[in-house]
Amino acid sequence: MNYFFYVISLVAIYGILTVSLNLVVGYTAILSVAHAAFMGIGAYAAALLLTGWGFNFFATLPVAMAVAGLVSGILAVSTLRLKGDYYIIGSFGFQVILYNVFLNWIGLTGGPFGIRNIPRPQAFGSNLRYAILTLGFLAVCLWVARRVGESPYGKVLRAIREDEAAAASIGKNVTRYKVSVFVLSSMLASVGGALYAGLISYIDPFTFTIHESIFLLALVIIGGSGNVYGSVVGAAVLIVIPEALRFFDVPTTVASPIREILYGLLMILFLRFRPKGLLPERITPGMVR
Amino acid sequence: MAHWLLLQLLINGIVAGSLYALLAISFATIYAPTKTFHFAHASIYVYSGYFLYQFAMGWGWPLPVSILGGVVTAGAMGVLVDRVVYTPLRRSGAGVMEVLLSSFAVFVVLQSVLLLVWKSDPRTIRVPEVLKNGIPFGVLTVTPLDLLTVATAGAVLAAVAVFMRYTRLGKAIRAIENDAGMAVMVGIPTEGVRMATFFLGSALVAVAAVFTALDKGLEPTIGVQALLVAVVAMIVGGVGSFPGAALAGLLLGVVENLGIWKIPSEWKSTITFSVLALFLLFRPSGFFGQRVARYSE
Repeated sequence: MNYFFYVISLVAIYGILTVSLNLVVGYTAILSVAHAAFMGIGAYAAALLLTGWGFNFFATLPVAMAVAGLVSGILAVSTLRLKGDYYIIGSFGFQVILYNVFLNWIGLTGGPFGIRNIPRPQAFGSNLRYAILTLGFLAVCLWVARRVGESPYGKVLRAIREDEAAAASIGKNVTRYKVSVFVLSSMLASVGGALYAGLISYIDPFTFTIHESIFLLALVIIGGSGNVYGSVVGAAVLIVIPEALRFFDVPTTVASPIREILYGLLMILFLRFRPKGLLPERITPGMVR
Repeated sequence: MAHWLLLQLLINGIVAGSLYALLAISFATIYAPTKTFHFAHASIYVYSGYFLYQFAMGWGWPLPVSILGGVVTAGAMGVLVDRVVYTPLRRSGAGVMEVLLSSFAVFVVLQSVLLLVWKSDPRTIRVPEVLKNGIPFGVLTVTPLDLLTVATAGAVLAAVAVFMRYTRLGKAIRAIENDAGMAVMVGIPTEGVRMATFFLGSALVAVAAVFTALDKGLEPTIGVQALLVAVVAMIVGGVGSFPGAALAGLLLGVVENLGIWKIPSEWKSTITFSVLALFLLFRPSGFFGQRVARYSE
């Protein structure tokens, strides 16, 4: 039962990460391969403040969000004002660098050994309670994402997705919208990362690779890009199925590639045969398409 | 003492840079005409190294035959990825974004298959002793392998330049790069040319991979780093400019290696990224590229 709540927490955390990525990928059609890096910023910020500075868990969140917001803002301003594939390239480079920072700045991050014994908040020590906590955060994240999606702001984001030049031509500052949604998404991802650090109680750089970023993209696509509930469904499906592999006697060196092959193939098949994903984006009344 | 050290680093930089130039050209060969951001290029790079390993070490083929085998197999693999994944997706009406997403997925799948087949331990390829024995020039040393690397990279780059400029196929590739719609209209068989670009680009990346593998050995994770270098060099050189990409690759190799003088080598890719960041901020069109449009100021 304890394990069950652990998986629930994991699903909720990946739900947060996927929903936040969906704001960028699904709503605005900005493709970022750096989401795991922002998750990592959150995880490392929380872990360092908790273990080294004796911070309260909830006090680490504003710090994590501030760092992620600042860094993502710099990345966004320098790449999102350019058209074409530049933001993909920028986010790709950024992802690789941040991984290198986690790995090589040993004095701060512990390098390949990572950070151990990350405490959970006292009131949420058991897996059951932690599951409740993460579900609470997921609910807040969903609420934020829905509010953003249905607001006039969200409609502009979709307009940018459909036709960037047209959105600019009616006087919308496209760059400002893209940068702001990217920053919001990264800040939410850092919360997901902080919760992840608390759940696993141990983090190392190998979690926050480009593979993780692509995994999160797969969750968005399979769940349904533009539909935030779809993101939660996508996360649930792709977290639970590989966890089931544990009940068969598969060694980790085989299980983790199999997991990756599974979601990679699913992603290709979905893109080809069901590009709208499991839960397609719903068009709310009053939304012009 | 510092002077010869700097000179040695410069030599190392030129060796690395000649391979970086190949990487940049290989990516640009596919990206420029097809507009496909072929992320799985990273996997093709790694696979060509492992093909070489399999042929030379696994099956005991002679080294030159194994190298050729690795390059050709990689080329075929690139075409296969396009035909099995990208082209059906394009035909089903998917946009650029979907094709890009699928290239990430292909990368992940190929990478995992590689782990299942060859495991994650580092591999080295046995090279005749003579190739790795340094030739001293005063205090500096160069190995025959280094010289072979630079010579091969130079020859291949020159061959590509001639091919692009003077052959029918090369002209067709440039025509599609310039205006794909017009290319169809004047009767260029665009699908055939597309396959040729994937073959050529993949074979070129394999050349870079093979020489890296001979010198430094193989690990499953080397592809991402190589792709980053390729993409950064393409941007710095200017998208659409082949000489620019090659020059930028060379420059990147030199900068990275000179950087080692003061900065530990594990920060190499950070140097690469800093170069990218500077160019994105101040000169996104690179050295020779066309001006990059901004949507809003």
